[in-house]
Amino acid sequence: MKKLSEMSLQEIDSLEEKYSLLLGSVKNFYSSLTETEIRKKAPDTDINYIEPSSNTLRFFDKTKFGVGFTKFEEFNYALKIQIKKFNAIFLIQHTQIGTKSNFNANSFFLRNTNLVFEKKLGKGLFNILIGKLIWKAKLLSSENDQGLFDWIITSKERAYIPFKVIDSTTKHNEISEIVKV
Amino acid sequence: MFEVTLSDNKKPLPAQIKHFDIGDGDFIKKWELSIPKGKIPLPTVRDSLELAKLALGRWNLRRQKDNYAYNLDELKDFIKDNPNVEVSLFLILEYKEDQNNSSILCVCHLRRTWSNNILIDFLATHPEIIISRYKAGSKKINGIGRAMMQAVSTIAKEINSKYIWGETTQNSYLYYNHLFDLNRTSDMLFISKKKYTDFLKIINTKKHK
Repeated sequence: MKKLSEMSLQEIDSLEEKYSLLLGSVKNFYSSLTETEIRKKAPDTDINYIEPSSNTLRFFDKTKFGVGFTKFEEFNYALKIQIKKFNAIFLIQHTQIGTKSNFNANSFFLRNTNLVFEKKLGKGLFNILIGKLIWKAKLLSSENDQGLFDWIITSKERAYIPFKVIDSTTKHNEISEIVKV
Repeated sequence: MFEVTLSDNKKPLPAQIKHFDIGDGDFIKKWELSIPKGKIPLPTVRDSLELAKLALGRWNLRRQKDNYAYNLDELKDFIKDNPNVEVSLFLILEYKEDQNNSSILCVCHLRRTWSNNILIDFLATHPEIIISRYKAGSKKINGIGRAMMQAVSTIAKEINSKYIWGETTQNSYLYYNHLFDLNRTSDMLFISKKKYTDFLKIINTKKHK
């Protein structure tokens, strides 16, 4: 493949014929769920799933807690973590996008966490959340050994971790150093 | 507003990237109507429609609550007033076939984040454009993604963003790798300032033959 500088504008533009241009979280369920709906859907326990899409439902029908999914299938699911002591709810979306070629992204997103990531949250609570994430990631890693935390964001970018790949072996104290809450 | 040039492999097609306004809201119906009835749409067509709806939904829902900029000067004013402000922009690429007929070929909802970077929330292309890729002999309009990324990169450059970021799909990440000389096998699109300014330099020197 030629470099961009070596290509004519027509050649650059014709690249579009091979690929899609889409950007954005396709199954972006968080935008359609209100907090009330989330509370309604998820029983009041420590950890629960919320099923935002048919894809997710299929995933949950087939499997229990992240075991047995099809490696190259795109799916999303959400994990609700409620920490009663702090009256905080985290909604975590896990996305895997894969094809049979070489693309297999496996990422976690923190969604609908404004409640948490405003000034109410300190590092201690964030570490609890990350701890839960790592625990979850460990469960997944038995099925899929790809990078577990390609990126973690909040809707307001406050806990964005650029480049730093956190895997299931990363310790809590290391995380608190790289995460700015 | 950005004047851009698309192409149909035969001739350059002048188009505009402008800020979305209430009067543009019916584009989503037109996009829906362009999808052939009676069969399940292609996944990329389905996703494109969904992303466009999410972008429009966000604008409809938030435009009176969030900060929206409708030109570059407004964006800069918001930032001057509060350097940590989050400001959204909703861009559309409009192509006028003639004086009476125009189409929105691409929409892009983006935000200037509190840390002065550009986050692309949603980018979607007209379903007809996607469908035309699979139909031999149909009119193919190219340059849409390049033109939209020119606009997004120009905005990033104007406000001196350190990077542009967003989320790719399995079908789009390679396109952005080509366009910005990236080497990422990930769902995270990350375009550093060097990469997007290099892209602008290259593109701005090229013209349709």
